[in-house]
Amino acid sequence: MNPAISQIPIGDNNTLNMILQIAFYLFFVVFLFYGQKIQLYISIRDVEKSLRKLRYMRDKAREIAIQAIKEIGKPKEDITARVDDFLDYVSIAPVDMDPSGIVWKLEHLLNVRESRFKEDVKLMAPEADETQINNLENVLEATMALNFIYKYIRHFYILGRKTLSLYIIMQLQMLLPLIMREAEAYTRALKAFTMGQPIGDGVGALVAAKLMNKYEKREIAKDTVVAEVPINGRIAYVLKAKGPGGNVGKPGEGIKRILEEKKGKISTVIMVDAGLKFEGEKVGEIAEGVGAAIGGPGVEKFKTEEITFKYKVPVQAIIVKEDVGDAISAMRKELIDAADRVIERIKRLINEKTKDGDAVIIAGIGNTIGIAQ
Amino acid sequence: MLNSKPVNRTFILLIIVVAVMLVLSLVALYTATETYFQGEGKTAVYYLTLSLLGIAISIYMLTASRGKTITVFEDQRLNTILQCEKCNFKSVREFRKGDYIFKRSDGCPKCKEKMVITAIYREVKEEEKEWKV
Ligand SMILES: [Zn+2]
Repeated sequence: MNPAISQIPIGDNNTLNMILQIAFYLFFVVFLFYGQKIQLYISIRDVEKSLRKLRYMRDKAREIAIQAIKEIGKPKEDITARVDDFLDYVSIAPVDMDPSGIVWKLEHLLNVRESRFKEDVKLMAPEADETQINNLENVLEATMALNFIYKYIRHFYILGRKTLSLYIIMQLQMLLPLIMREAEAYTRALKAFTMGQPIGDGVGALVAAKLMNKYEKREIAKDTVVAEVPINGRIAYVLKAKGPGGNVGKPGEGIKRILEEKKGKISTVIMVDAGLKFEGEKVGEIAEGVGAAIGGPGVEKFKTEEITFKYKVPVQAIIVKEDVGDAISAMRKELIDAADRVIERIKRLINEKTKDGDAVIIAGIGNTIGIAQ
Repeated sequence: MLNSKPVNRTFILLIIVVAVMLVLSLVALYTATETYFQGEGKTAVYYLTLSLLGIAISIYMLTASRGKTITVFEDQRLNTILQCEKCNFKSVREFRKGDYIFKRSDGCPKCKEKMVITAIYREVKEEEKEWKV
């Protein structure tokens, strides 16, 4: 053996072998007894990282909202505290033990909520016009959503830390990728709302706007406009939310009132809405079907179903596919292009399903921000 | 707002574990070369494997704990398409605050008529990955 090497103390193979062996056994024992704990701390770190990101998003969103209100509304006093109060606003859902009639209670609650929001925004931003108030309300709603997500995740994070329960933390960790996607979508929505840009969800409203643009409009329900448009010898009652402020209107109520005005003499109702795509489907793909194509809390859907059932009017659905992120961020080119293809589909549907001289309803569903009529 | 002390403690623990593992791996690597030159090939391979495994685990533990940067809140470029209803002249410009679809905006350069905004959109540059399934 080379004497120079053998003189290095750790060069002694036996000693080193022993150290390595002990280290190996030590690791084995540690992982055997503390494996789950180690897993727990790794998971906690993971969740904490996301939570920090969520907090950053919430804080930034709040900042953007306050700045937008100051810029547009020119408030006389400091609105920071008011905005903070607003972000924690709660709506308590009606009791559902006896579900009969719950839709009307929910509608009432939503109406109260909306008018309260509008009043609050008006107080915060006295110089904003109607469109701007609607847009600011949307900005605040997106901020509220981010605030809620942050608080919700923080709740379970702290609970997990307090109980040191691997299962609470792991559930959180498993859901986080989806929750983060949603939170990121809201941050993009915020940008679109502050600038009053059309969003992906508005593709239905865009279709209706394109159809009714040259014709006279009237307000049929709150924040909802309708126009009588001749299409291929039929009369189409085209309706959408009133733009260009951020608004979804009351399309269900609109459809109900038109059907009642016409005493049910409508041969078909066509609803156009943005729908969530599956992963793997392309943005702007169009799907046809039957049934009330409308999301939200369900009140407008319920009304549409009730009234079309009463008069036995078939409801056709046209869905434009997009994902959550696209739906609430600035409209993609694919969706603008899809709107023209939807109009072709509507014309074909009308030709196939109705006769000359019939009346039809075409409802463009969705948030009409950035889209007039 | 968040009480993050215990996690910081585990982070220090993680660093210590990684450091110890790295030192042991390096020692094993040294021993591997030493035994190789002594002509004990089999033992050398054993130490080499051990050391590479240790290094790999340490690198994994370090990279897994690194954070990502936040890229949302970036400004997006939006296009506004304008069309003249009289002469069908079309133009594209960048989105300006206050634009909305069907707003009468800039004058037509040909006939001085107000042009109508017909579309506002963003173009997504990077194509989404195609999953061949
Ligand atoms: Zn012109």
